[in-house]
Amino acid sequence: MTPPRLARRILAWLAPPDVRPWLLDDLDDAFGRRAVVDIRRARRWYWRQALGGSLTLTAMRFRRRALGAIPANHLEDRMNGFTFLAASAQDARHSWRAFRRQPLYGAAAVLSLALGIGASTAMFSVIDGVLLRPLNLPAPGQLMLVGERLPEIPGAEKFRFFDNPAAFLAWRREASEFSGLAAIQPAGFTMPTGGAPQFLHGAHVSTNFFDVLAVRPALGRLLAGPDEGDTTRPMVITDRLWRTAFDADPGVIGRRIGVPGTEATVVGVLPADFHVEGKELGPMIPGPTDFFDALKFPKREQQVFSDFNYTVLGRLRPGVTEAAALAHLDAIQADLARTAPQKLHLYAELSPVRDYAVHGARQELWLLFGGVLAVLLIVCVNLGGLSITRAADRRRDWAIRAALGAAPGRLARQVLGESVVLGCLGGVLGIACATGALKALLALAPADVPRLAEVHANWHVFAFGVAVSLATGLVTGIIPALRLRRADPHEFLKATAAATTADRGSLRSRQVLIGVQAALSTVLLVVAALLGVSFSRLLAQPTGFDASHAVAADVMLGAYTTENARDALLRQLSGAVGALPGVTAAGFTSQLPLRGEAWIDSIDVPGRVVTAAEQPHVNVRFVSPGYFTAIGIPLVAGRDVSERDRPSGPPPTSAATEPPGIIVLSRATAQMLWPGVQPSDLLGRGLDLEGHRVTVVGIAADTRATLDAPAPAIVYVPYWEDAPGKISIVARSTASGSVLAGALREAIRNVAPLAPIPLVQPLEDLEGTAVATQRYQFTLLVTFASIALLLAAMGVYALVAHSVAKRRKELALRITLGARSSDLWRIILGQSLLPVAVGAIAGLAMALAAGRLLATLLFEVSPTSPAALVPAPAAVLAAAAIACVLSARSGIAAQPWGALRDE
Amino acid sequence: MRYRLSRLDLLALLALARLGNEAYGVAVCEDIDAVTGREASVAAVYASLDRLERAGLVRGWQSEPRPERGGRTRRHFVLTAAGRAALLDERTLAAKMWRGVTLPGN
Repeated sequence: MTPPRLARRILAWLAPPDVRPWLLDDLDDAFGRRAVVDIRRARRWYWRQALGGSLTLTAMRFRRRALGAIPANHLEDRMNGFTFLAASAQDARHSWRAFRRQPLYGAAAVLSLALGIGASTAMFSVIDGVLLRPLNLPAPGQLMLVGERLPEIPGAEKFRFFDNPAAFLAWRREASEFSGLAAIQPAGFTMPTGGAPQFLHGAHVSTNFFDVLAVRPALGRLLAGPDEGDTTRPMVITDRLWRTAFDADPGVIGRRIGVPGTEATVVGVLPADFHVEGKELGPMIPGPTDFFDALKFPKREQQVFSDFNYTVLGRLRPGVTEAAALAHLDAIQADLARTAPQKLHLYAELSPVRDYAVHGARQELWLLFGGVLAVLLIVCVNLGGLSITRAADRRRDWAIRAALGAAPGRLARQVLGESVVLGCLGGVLGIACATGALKALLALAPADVPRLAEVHANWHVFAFGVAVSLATGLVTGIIPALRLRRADPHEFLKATAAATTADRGSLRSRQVLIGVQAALSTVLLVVAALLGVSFSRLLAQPTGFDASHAVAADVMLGAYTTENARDALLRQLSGAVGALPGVTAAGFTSQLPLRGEAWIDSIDVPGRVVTAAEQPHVNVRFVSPGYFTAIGIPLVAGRDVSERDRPSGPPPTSAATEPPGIIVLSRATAQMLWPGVQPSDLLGRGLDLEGHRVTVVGIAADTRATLDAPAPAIVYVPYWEDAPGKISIVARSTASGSVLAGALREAIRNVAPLAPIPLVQPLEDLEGTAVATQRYQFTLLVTFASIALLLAAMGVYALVAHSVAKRRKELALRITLGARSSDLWRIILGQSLLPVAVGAIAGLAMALAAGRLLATLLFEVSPTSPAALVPAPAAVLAAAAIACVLSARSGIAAQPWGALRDE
Repeated sequence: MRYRLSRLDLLALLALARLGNEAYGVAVCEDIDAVTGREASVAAVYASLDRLERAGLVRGWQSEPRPERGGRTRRHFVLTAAGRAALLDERTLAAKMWRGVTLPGN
C-alpha cells in the first residue's frame, strides 16, 4: 500500500530538501496506518495533505532561502558551486564522447536543430524589426496619425487617415495638445539619367514635417517655413538616393536636379538610419520614399467635406494622453461640420504611427512565427524521442554507473547536458544560417509588409537565437532526464538483455511524444489547408478582364507639366503602341483593375435630391479609346469612348458654357444609380460628375479593384477631360508577352522620351501581385506543414523500428506459437497509430481554437470548414501509417528462429 | 524580538508538552486532530515546528532507527526551557484575561 504517487511527488517537489525525507516518511507512516482501516479514505487524506500543504511548503522554502537553513548535523551535504562546475565539465566531456561514438545521430540532431533554430531566428528578426522595435525617432510614442471619421458615409472606414486640408488647418490652429502637426501628400519626380529617366517616389510635406519627427539632417538642411513659396523647389533627399544617384557626393547640396520645368534644388540629405517611409506616413504613401519637398495647398477655398487627399501626422506634447487630444480634435471637427452645408457628423481619430503601419501585418507575422515555432517544437520532440531510445539502449551502461554510486539525478543531468550541448551546437549553426534564411524570407515577402528595411540581425535577434538554442536543448532533454531521475538503480539492474518485450516506460514516453508531433502537424496542416483554400478562392474570383496575351506598362508623365503637352502625348501614345507588330488592340487607363480603389468623386442623377449620407460615390478612371478592347472588359451596352467625342472648337470659358462630356459606367455604377433598369435603357441619360454634366454612352462589365471585395462602382471618362499624369498602357497581342514588353517600352520612349516607365508586366501578373500576401502566407505555411509531417513520420518510423527491434524475440515467440502476421501487424500498428490518432484529434481541437485568430486572414472560407479540417488529420494518419508499415515490414517478415537463436 | 505564537504554534507546543518524547510531525498533527476535531495539515505543522525551532522554543533531534526491518530514523521534537516558559506565559495571560469575564448565554 503506497500513497498516491503524484501527490507524493508534489510534496517531494515542494518540500525544502532538509525537511523532505522526514515529512515523506512521516506521511508514509501515517498513510500506512490509515490505509489498513480504509484505503480509499487514506488516499483522499493523503491528497488533502499534499494539496493543502503545497502553499505552506512553498512559503517555507522561500522563508528558508531568506533565513538560511538551520545548521544541524542531520542536513544533507549540498553540492557547492565548485563541485557542481566540476561535475558539469565532466558531463560535457561525457556528452562529447557519446556523440563521437554515434556521429550520425549527432550530425542529424544538430542539423535538424540548426534548421529549426535558423528558421525561427530568421522569423524572429522579421517580427523584431517590423513589430517590436519602436520607430527610430525621438519619443516615437508621441507620434500620431490624425484622421477624420465620417460615420454616416458608407465605406468611409476604408479610407482611414485621408484628411481634408480645411480640417488640417483647423487642427494646426487650435489643437494645443500637439507640439506640431504636419500634412503629407504623395509625390513623384522624374530624374533624367544617362539612359531612361527614372521615377522617384516621394512626398510633399508641410515644412514643419521634420520638426514634428525631430530629425536632423546628415548634410545641408531640412525644410523650413519659407520653402513653401520658394519657386526653386527646395528638396530633401534620402541617404539611399544620395548614394545611388549621386555617388554620396557631398557637393550635391545646392544642385539643381530634374527635367526642365520640374527642377528642384537639393538642400539636404537625411541620415542613413531615417526609415520613416511607407505606411508610417499613412495610407497614401505605401512604399519607400526618396525625397521630400514643401507641400503647397491648392489656392481655392478649402471645403470641409471634400478633397480628402492628405494625411496628417502630429506629435503629442509630453504628458498629453491620446484620449485628451482626441476629445479636443472631436470638438474642433464638430465646429467644422457646423460650418458646412451638408448635415453630417464629423469626428477625428488617432493612431500611434507604428500601430497603424504594422496593423495589417501583425496577425500574419505572428501566424508565421507560430508556424516556425511549431516546427521547432516538433524538431525538439523528435530528438527527445531519439534521446529516449538512446537512453533505453544504454540502460546497462546506466545500471552499471548507478550501481557504482552515480546518483540518478546525476545521470539525468548528463542526459540533459547532452541535449543542451546538442541545442548549442544546433544554435551556433542555426544562427549562422539565420542570415541566409532571413534573406530568403525578405525576398519572398510581399511588398505590403511594412518596415522591412528595418529588418536585420542585431543583438535582439542574437539573444533570441541563444535563448531558443538553450530552450530547445532543455525541451529535448527534459523528458528523458525526468525518466532517468525517477528511475531506481534496482530497476536498471533488473532490466537485462533477457527481457523479451520493449521497456514499457520508454515506449509510453515515446508514444506521448509521437502524439504531440501528430497534434502539432495537424494544426499546421489545418492552417496551411485553410490558407490554401482561401488562396484558391481568391484566385477563382472573376477579375472582370482578360489577362492572357496582354502586357501593361506604367508611364509617368510628371515631366510634362502642362495639360496640353500631356494631352498631345497621350493622343499619340495609343496610336504608336497600336501600330506595333502583332498588337491587336491598345489603350490606356489612369488606374488598372486590381490596383485598389482611387480617385473617388461624388456623382448625381440630375433632379434627384439625396441626403449627404446617401450621396453616391464612384471610382473615376480616365481611359483612351480602345482601352476596353485592349484589356478585355466587355461592353454590356452602348459603345466605347472615341476621339470623335472630343469637344471641338476653342476651350470653354466657364463650366456653364461647357458642352456635356461623355461617360461609360460600370455595371455596378448603373445598378447603384438606377437599380433594376436594363443597361441598354440607360444610354443617353445625363449625370453630374463633380458638377460637370456628362452623358452615358456605354455600360461596361464590372472589374475588381481588389480580389477580396465586390467590384466597386467605376465610371470611365475620356482622358482629355483631365490628361492624367500617370497612366498604364495595355497592349493585347498575338505575340508572347516578353517579346512585346521590349517593343512596348521602345514605342513609349519614342513618343515620350522624358516619361519614366517604372514597370512593364504581363496582365497575368496583376493578379499575382494582388494575391502576393496570401501566396506568401500559404507558401511558408505549406513548407512548415510539410516539414512537420515529414518529421512526424520520421518519429513514427523510429518508434516502430526501435520497438520492433526490441520485441524481435516476443514477435518470434508469437509466430512460433501460431500467431498470424495480421495479429502482429495489429499489435505494431495499434501501438504507434493510436497515439497518432489521439494526437491528430487533439491537434484538430487546437486548430479549431486557433482558427478564430485566423479568421481575418481568410477569404470566403470559415476556420471550421471541413475542406481543411478533414484532410489534415487524414494526411497525418496516412503518413504515420506509411512510416509504420515501411518500418515494421522487415521485422515482421523475418523468420522467427533467427531471433530465437540469438540467445 | 520575541517570537509571536500563532494559533497553530500554540497547539503544536501544547501537543509537544503532552506527547513528551514521542513527538514527531505526524504524531503532533494527529494529537491536534484529536483535540480540535479538525484535520491539520502535516506540512503546516512542519512549518510551524520549523518556525518554533528557529525561535528556540523547540529542539529537533533524530531518533534511533525504528525496531523493524528497514526501520528508518525519525525527526522528533521536544520543548526547550524557553518553549515551556512561552507556554506558561500564554496560560497566565489567558487566565488573566478570562478573569471576571462572563459571556451572555453562559
